[in-house]
Amino acid sequence: MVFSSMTFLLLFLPVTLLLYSLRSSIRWKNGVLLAASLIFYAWGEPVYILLMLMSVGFNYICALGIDRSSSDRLLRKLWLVLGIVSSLIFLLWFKYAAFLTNSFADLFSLSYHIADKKLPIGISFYTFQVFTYTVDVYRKKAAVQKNPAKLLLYVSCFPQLIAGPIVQYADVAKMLDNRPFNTVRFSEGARRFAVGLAKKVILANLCGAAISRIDPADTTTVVSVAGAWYAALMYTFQIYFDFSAYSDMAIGLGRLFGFDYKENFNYPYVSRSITDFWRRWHISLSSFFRDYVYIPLGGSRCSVRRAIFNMMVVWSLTGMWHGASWNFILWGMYYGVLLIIEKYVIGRDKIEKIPFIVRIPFVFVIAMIGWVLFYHTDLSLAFRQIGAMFGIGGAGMELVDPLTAAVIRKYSVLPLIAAVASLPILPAIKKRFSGAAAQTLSYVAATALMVLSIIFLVGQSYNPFIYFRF
Amino acid sequence: MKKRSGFFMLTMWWFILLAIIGGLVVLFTPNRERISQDENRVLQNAPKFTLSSFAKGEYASKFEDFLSDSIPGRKALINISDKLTGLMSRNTDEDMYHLDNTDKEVADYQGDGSGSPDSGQPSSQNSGDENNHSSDEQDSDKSGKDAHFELVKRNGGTTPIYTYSYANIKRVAGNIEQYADLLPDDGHVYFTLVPFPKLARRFTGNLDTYSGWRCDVFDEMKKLTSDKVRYFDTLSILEPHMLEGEDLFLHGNHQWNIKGSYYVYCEMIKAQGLTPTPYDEYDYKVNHPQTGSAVTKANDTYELLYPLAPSNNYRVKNINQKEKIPFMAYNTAATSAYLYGYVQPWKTVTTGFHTGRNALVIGDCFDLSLTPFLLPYYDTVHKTDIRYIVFDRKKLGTSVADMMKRNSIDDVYFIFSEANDVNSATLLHALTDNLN
Repeated sequence: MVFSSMTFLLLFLPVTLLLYSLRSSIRWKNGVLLAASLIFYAWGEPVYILLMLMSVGFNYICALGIDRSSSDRLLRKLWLVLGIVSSLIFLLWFKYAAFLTNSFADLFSLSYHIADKKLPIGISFYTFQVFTYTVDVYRKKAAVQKNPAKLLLYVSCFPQLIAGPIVQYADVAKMLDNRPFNTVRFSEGARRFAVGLAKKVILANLCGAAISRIDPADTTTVVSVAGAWYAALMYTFQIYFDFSAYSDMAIGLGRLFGFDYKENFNYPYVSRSITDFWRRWHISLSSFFRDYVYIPLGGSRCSVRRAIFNMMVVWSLTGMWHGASWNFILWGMYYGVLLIIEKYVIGRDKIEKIPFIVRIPFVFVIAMIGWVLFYHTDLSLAFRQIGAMFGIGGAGMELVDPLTAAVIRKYSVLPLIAAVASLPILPAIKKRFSGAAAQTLSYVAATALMVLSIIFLVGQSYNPFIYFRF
Repeated sequence: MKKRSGFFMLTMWWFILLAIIGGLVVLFTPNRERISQDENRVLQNAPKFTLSSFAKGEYASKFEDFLSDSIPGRKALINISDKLTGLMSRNTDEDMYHLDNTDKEVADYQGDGSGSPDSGQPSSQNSGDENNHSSDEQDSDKSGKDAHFELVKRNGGTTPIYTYSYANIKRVAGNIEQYADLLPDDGHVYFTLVPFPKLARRFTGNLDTYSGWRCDVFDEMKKLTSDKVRYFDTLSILEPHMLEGEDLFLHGNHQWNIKGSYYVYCEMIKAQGLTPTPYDEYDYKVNHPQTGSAVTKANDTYELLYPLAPSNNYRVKNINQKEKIPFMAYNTAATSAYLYGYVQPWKTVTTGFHTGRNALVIGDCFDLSLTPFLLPYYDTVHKTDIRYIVFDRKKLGTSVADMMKRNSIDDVYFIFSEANDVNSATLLHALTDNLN
C-alpha cells in the first residue's frame, strides 16, 4: 500500500487511527500498530511478508544468542555473522543474484544467465533496519529485545517500512515501550503528513508527467540540448519531491502514532559542496553507511590511500543499494570520486573560500548530471542524454526542439514552483513569524494542501513512489 | 492551549472526513456497470475478495481502482484538477499538436475541419510490468484464456503491452456476433485492430532488442464467433514489412499511413477470394504538411487517393437529410484527412461501381486510410463512428441496426485503433448500446 493511495487515505489510516486511540495502554497501541503494519505490507504483496518475518525471526534469535554469550567473544561474533548473513541473504538473492551472476557470465562469455527476480517492496529498507538491530545489540549500543512482537513492530512499523527513513534500532528502542500520544503531536504530525502528500501528489507527479512527455529514454527520438537539460532538471526535482515527500509523510505519520523519526532531508539543493549535499540528502542512508560500513572499515583515520579506498567502497555500495544495475554503481562512484576530489585534491578550506552564489548552482548542476546517470538503467542512454546536454550526439547543437518548447510552455510555472519549494523558505518564515497567527496560517495552508492533494489524486491514476524499487 | 486543541480538532476532522468519504464509497456505490464515456472505459466496481486474487495482488489493485473510480464528485474533481494543472500552462495550438503526439494517452482526434474534436482515450495504457488499468469485466470468467499483446524479444522473452481478460474477449465477441446476425447469408464481418505509431516505433526503434510483436486476442475470439466473422491480425500482416524497414506509421500524427492500411486491405480482399488492386493503379496527390507548421519536422507525406471511379461522399445528418461533402481534403493541408468528414455519426460514399453489395465500416479515425481501398467492391460504403463521444443516436434519429437495414448492408468492417481495443467501453458497450 502506498501513502498516496485512496485505500490508505480513505480507509486504512482513519481506521488505524481510530483503533489506535481507543485505549491508552501501550500494549494495545503496539498491537494495533503491528497488525496494521502487517496488513499494510501484505496489501498487494502478501507472499513477501514471509521474507520479512523470517528475516526478523532469524535476527531475533541471533541477537538473543549475542546477548546470552556475552562472555564468549568468538560465539558472539559467530551469532553476529549469522545475524548479518540472515538479514542480507534475502536482499542478495532477490536484488543482486541475477545481476551478479549475469555480469559474471557476461565477463567470461558464459551462456548461463538467470532471470531478474521481482523485488519485494521495501526489502532494502527493512533489511538494513534488521541489520542495525543485530549490530547495535552486538555493539551493546542497545539492549536485546526479548519480545519478538516489539522487534517485529520496530522493523515493520508502517510509516517507515517501505521507503524509510532507515531507523536505527538504538534510536527507537525506548519508544517501543513508551511513547507520547497527545493532541499537539497529533496535529503536528498531520500537518507534516499533508505537506508530504502535497509534495508527492502535486509537485513530484507533475514533474514526472513533464519528463514522460520528453521521455529521454525513448531510443526512437533525438533529444535537443534544451530537452536534455529540461528532462534532467525535472527529474532532479521529481526525485527530491518524491522521496522527501515520503520521508515527510513517514515522519508525520510517526508523530501521529507517537514515534520521533529523524529528518531525512534538509534542503539538499542549497548545498554548498558535495559533502554538504550528502549531509542533506537521504541522511538516514548516509548515516547507516557511515556507522556500519565506513567507520568499521577504518574511516578517514588511516592512510590517505586507505581512506580513499574506504570511500570508494562505501560509495559503490551506496550506488548498488539503489539498484542492481551498473548505472547505480557508476552513480555511487561518481559521488565517491567527487568527494575524494573535494577532500583530498582541492581541499575543503579552498572550497569554502568560493562565494556560495557560485557553489550552490555548481553543486546543483553536479547533482543534475548525477541524476541523469541514476535515471537511465541503460548506460548508453545516460551518456546520450549527458552528451545531448552539451550538444554532443544525435541532435548536435540543436538548442530546442518543438516538443521541448511545447513541454516547457505546458509546465511553464512548474519549475518555478519546484525551485521555490526546494529552497528553505518555510523554515525562514517559521523563524520570523512564530506567533499564534503564523501557526493558524500553517494549519489553514495544510488543510488547503490536503484538499488539493485529494483533488489531484483523483485526477491521477498512476503514481508510484520512485524509491519503492530500491 | 485553546488554539492547540483547535488545531487538533481541525486535523482530526481531516481524517473523519476522509473516513466518511471512504465509508460512503464502500457502502453506497451501486454494484452495477458504470461507464465513463470520456475515458472510454468501464469503471471498476467493488472487486470480489478471493484468497487467490488477494495473494496475487489483483484484489488490492482493483480495490484501489474501485475507490478512485467511485469517489463522490469524481468528474468535478477531475475537472478541477485539470483546470489547476492548466493554470501552469500557456500552450499554443502548435504545442498541443506536439503534446498530443507524444502523450502516452494520445487522444484519438483528427481535425479535418469538418466536425468537433473528440477525446477518446486509449482504454488500456499499461506497458512493461505496470498494472493494466483497463475496463476488465467485473467478474472474471475463467472458462477461456486471457489474451496478451506483447513485444517479442530476441532473447526469447517478451515485453507485455496489454492484457485482455477472457471475460472482455467473450463479451466483445458476443457483441460482434450480433452484427454478424444482421447480415445476409453471404455477408461477413471483417475485424481488425491497429496499434499506435508510438508502439510501432518502440518495436522498430529497438530491433536489436525486439524481433517481433504479437497478440493472441483473435485466436480466442475466433473460438467464440461464427464463421461469418473474419479476423485480420494487423501485427502479423505488418511485421515483415516493418522488419524490412518500411515506414507504415506516421511520425507527425498518431495514425498509420496509407501503405500500412493497404497491406491490411489486401489481406481482407484476398480472404474474399478477390484480387486486390495494385497500389500503383491509384492516382494520388501527395500532401505535405504546411511549410512552417508544427509537423513539418515529422517529414510525413500524405498520399490522398483519387477513387478509381467517380465517387461522392455524404454526411448523413439524420435519416431524412444528407449533405454532400468533399471526398478527400485535397485542397487543404490537413494532415491526415484521407477520407473527408471524420467526426460524423454516419457517412455514405456512393462509389460509382455497381456490384450489388453494400458495406458498413465501423471504426475510429484509423479506417479513413483503409476505406477508400474498399470502394471498388461495393455500390455504397457507409461509415459510422460508434464511440459514445461521437455517435449521436438522437440526432441520427435511429439505431445502427435500422441504418444497416435501410442501406442493405452486406458486409461490416470493424477497423479500430488500440484506443478502442477489447478493453474499451467502445467495443464492450457502445457497439451494442447503439446497435438496437
